[in-house]
Amino acid sequence: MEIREKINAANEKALSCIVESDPVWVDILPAGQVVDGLEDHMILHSGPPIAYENMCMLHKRGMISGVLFEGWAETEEEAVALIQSGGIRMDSALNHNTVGAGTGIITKSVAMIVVEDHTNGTRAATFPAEGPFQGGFCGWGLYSPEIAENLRHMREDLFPVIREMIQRRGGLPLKPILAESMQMGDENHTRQTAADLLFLKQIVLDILKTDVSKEKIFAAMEYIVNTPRFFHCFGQGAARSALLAASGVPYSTMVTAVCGNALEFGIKVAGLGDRWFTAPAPMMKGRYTSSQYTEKDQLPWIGDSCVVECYGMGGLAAAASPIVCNLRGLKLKDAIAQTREMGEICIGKNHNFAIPNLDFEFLPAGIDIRKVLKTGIEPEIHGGMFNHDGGLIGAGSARVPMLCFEKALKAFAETYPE
Amino acid sequence: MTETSEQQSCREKPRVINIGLSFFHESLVAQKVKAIQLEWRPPVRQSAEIKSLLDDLL
Repeated sequence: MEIREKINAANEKALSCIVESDPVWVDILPAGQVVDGLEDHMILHSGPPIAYENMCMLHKRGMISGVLFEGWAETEEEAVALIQSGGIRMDSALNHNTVGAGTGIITKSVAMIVVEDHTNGTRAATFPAEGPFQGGFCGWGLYSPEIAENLRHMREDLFPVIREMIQRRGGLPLKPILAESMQMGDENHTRQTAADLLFLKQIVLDILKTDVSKEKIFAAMEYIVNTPRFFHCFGQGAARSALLAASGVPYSTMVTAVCGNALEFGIKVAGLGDRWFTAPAPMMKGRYTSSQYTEKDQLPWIGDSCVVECYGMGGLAAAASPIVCNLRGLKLKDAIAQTREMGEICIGKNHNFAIPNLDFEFLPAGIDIRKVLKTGIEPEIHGGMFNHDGGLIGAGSARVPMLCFEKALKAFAETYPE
Repeated sequence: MTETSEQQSCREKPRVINIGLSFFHESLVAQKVKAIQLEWRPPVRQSAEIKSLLDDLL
């Protein structure tokens, strides 16, 4: 078999990990129990691996927050000294079966949503948003007495109720929610408005059946209802569990991860396992939440949540969500054009996602590094803009740098010299 | 005196084929000018090494 045929067969296999995936939310567990390789005195972060001294302020602050959260030091000064002495191991979240959204600070005690892919036999864990603190500790790398108390409240008061509910119902299939919400205006990266409602409809009766007090049920429901984009972590879990199955498929040129750490942007490729291919992190273009913000306030790309793009959501699904595209001043036809353009660099289509705005054509899925280089079309991915002090200041999109794909193709040729 | 083709085209309503940036096509259509859009983008610039690899692998 010629190498082209091997690649095409491998890409069909890798794409089927996405298309045939069956992600199911099954549990809530501490990260130490569910994230493979997450040890004591270890902190995960978003983006490609990076040394502490090179991290942006948000990541450095997140590392200090992680040390304080776990009680490995009493003060910030002690935390910094511990980190600088090499007492804390740091790694990219996407080197494990998790996703580092935003700053992506994950330590062993963080409560994680557990998603199992029943087709692929894989498992991924993602952290839920922190109610009134939104990104809070994990997403924004913040730590304060109030955030600590909220994390305790989530862990001890809310999650036992939610955990009992999900175990009693035997898990919640996520693909039907993703598929239906895509037909209702979500692209499931920047927007989960429909998915949040569909999710709520699925769980509301089950949570009322839990054997706990009315007050505890109310508190759990209040947390879910009042947390913006609550479903986001489930979409990330669905994507990550499928992409973990594709990772390591020999000869596949499909992209399995895209992410940034505000300094570098990195991709992974199925046939090249856990290797990173990096370029300077791009700036996002979009709309700020306030006219007081300018590009000077904005960090280059930070976060792993764009793992959903590799699954065929976000920028690839622009046609499903003209509302999100309108944040960049685009019209419906532009959103459709964006999805069609992304189709030129994808291996195939996902028959689970039929989109009304495309006259029920399926969304593209599975970015192929060869097609990116051949066409010169860099993947357009959606995301949130962070400022230098932490917190979201807008939403928009960026193009994944071509240099990542050039490096990956060269490495591919060295790995498979035929 | 015989009219040149340039003079003739100035007298007639323009019919435009726009190549590349769609904004020009949209502006003409908004002015009720008969125009069609040809989807086109500049040729991709690749290094010789990438081009050779793509020839083998794609």
